[in-house]
Amino acid sequence: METDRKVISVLGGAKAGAAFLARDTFSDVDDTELSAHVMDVGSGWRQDGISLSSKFFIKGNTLSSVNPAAPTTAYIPWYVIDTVTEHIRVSVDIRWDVLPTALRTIELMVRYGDPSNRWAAQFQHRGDTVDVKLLEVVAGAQSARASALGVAAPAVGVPFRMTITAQGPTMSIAIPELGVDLSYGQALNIPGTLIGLRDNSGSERPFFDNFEATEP
Amino acid sequence: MIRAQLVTAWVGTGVEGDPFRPAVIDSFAVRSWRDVTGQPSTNLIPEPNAFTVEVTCDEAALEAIVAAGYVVLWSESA
Repeated sequence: METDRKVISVLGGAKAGAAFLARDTFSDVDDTELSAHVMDVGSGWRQDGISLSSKFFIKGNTLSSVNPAAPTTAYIPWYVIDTVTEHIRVSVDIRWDVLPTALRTIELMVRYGDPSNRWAAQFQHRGDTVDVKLLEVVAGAQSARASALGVAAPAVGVPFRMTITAQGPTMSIAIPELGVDLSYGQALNIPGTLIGLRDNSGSERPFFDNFEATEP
Repeated sequence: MIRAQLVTAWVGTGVEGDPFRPAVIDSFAVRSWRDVTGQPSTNLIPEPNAFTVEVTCDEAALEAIVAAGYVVLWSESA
């Protein structure tokens, strides 16, 4: 087990002094599968979704969907944690080390009941621009409730922090580094208490770090 | 930049990669938008297919939206 510590980003993240409902700096031995990894704070990650052959692994004390047994194969891992509350702020650092050449999608999920019922901050990287969507999924039907479109893409190799906040009927997404600030005021219909990450970025995958969940 | 509320139809099939979304964002250079009516997902797409969104765009985009026949409820400088 590696013991090195990392500096936690403060941009757009948890409030100073807030108690973490979940926290993971992904500090562990390379190629550790995420559900076998012990979080800094939290009940532990478990796989969900459609394809359970898709997994997240620790890589360089960050999280990646690169499977060490098949590093060039694209997977769609999604993992969740139960935080026992629907009212929550969830943040994660995201970093692409390659410029995507096609549409690459990741999701930071809240109020997750099951794969067909959830809310998500959906980040779609198109190379030079990105779209960010507040996505509602009910009985498998997906509806965008707010979006920022054609936003200038983040620099390659530079992390940015995406935060989704679910507080009562208000759902919001913030990415300070990209100037994204979205909100929607009538988000009551999915009572799930799980939060999670989903990576559908194909072969041009990002790294995730400093996952944090607090009360809003 | 301009902020405006307007009436649009929903488009999309509700599947991954083609979520229900306002038609106006597929045809015009809208920077950002949000649903301000909160129409339940179970009612998408209803008859008549019309709901209200608040968009942020530049002046030229709003002029094009108006010229295309969209009903703009109000607009202001953002």
